[in-house]
Amino acid sequence: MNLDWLHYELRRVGLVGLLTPLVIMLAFSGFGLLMRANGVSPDRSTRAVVTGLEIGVATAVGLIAATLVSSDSLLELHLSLVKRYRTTFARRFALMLGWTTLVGIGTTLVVRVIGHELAPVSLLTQQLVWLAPLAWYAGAGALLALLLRSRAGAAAVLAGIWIGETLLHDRFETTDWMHPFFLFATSYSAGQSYWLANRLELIAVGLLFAALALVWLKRNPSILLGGEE
Amino acid sequence: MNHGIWPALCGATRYEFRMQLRRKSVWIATFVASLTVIAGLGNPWNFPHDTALPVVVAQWAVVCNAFLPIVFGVLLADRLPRDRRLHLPELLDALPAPSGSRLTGKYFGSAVATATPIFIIYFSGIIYMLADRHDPLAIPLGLSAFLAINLPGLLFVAAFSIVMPAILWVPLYQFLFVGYWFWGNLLSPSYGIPTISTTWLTPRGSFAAAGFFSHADEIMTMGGSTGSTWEGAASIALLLCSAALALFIAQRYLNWQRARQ
Repeated sequence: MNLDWLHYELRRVGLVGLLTPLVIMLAFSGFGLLMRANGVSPDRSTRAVVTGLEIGVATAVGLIAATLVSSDSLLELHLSLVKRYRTTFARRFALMLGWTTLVGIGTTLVVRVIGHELAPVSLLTQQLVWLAPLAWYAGAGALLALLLRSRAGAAAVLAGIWIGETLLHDRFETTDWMHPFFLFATSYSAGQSYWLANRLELIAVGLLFAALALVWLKRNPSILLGGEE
Repeated sequence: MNHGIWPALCGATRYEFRMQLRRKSVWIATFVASLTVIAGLGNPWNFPHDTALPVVVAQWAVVCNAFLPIVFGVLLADRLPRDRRLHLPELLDALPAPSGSRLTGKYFGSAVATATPIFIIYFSGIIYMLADRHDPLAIPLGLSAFLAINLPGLLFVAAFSIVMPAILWVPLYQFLFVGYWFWGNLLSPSYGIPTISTTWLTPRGSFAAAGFFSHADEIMTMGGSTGSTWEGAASIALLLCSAALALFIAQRYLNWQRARQ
């Protein structure tokens, strides 16, 4: 099996792209330690790690996905090749998600080993803490970059969603119809009855977004040409 | 060639302004993010009629300035990398226009264009106040609040969003910028994490709002201070000086980078 593409695509995603989720988790874990050192309770300082996984890593991956889908300097050449750009993008997308998955699982295990929990559920179900917003943000990032034909526009909408959900979290917590859209339910309302359904709904919508992006790239790959500069 | 500075600055400003204003994503992203502003608190319709008009105007300016600069900064982050991707510096360096004027023109042009939808959203709130209170003072107060509270913060954000991607990968900068915005503007010191949200260097504009538009404790800064006029002025001066310094250092860095090629 020829794995030359793996080496090449890893270089395309780049060291910065691969290190970003790791560095974010280290930074948020550092915040957690700092909070502990300042006398903040263990539960509250563990939330810094939850925030890093659920908000930090997921949002960063969304921004990277928006960049990956639309930033190939050889795009015009690629569109003339037999190998579809959709396949190339899917590989890069999968590599980034695979690496972030390792960071997510690793963080969950480390938190368990030091005697804390990300959420009051089993270790396996705790993986939904990061998986749900990650799937949603990654799918939304790719789809928005295609819809708006602008990486910066997609990033701005993702950033708006990030800040909107964070600052209006109490509305998301108390309004029933907003529960399926609450990306940061663990950070603000872990243990609520709607938590599991919320996670599964986010994953389903994220997969739908990613599938729509791939279908769009299949039907009209030239959508990426002549986008906003 | 000093005589080429102003025409180059005006030309770059005009072109950057028109280019950025025509981007659909600037309008779409800003109006999507404005839903957060409208859904939040501190909007003109959230205050009882006996609240002083300057307080309502300034609170509305602070609310707009708490959320919308995030989208503003993210949208501006691709301006310099876009030039590099299209190999524009190589082309423009062959012309007599100084590179400093081009960078400054890019800064002013794209910042003003990206701030235009923000101003429209903000001014819609001022028009609402005018219609609701039948007080024509809302218009001059609204304009002065935008100049004192919003504009310094936006110019500060624009400077860093334009120059930082010269050394940082754009998505990484965008992520760090949004993280910084929470940390440096919206994070209360009670969280136990050191923050600059209580200092003059907070582009949210709470020092200017508290210093210029509040008589008692109607508007407070993140640190719980009622502020003073000179603190408001100091905050504006610090933000503008930081923006100018960032542009100056970036210009030197870009010149150094060109000299190495």
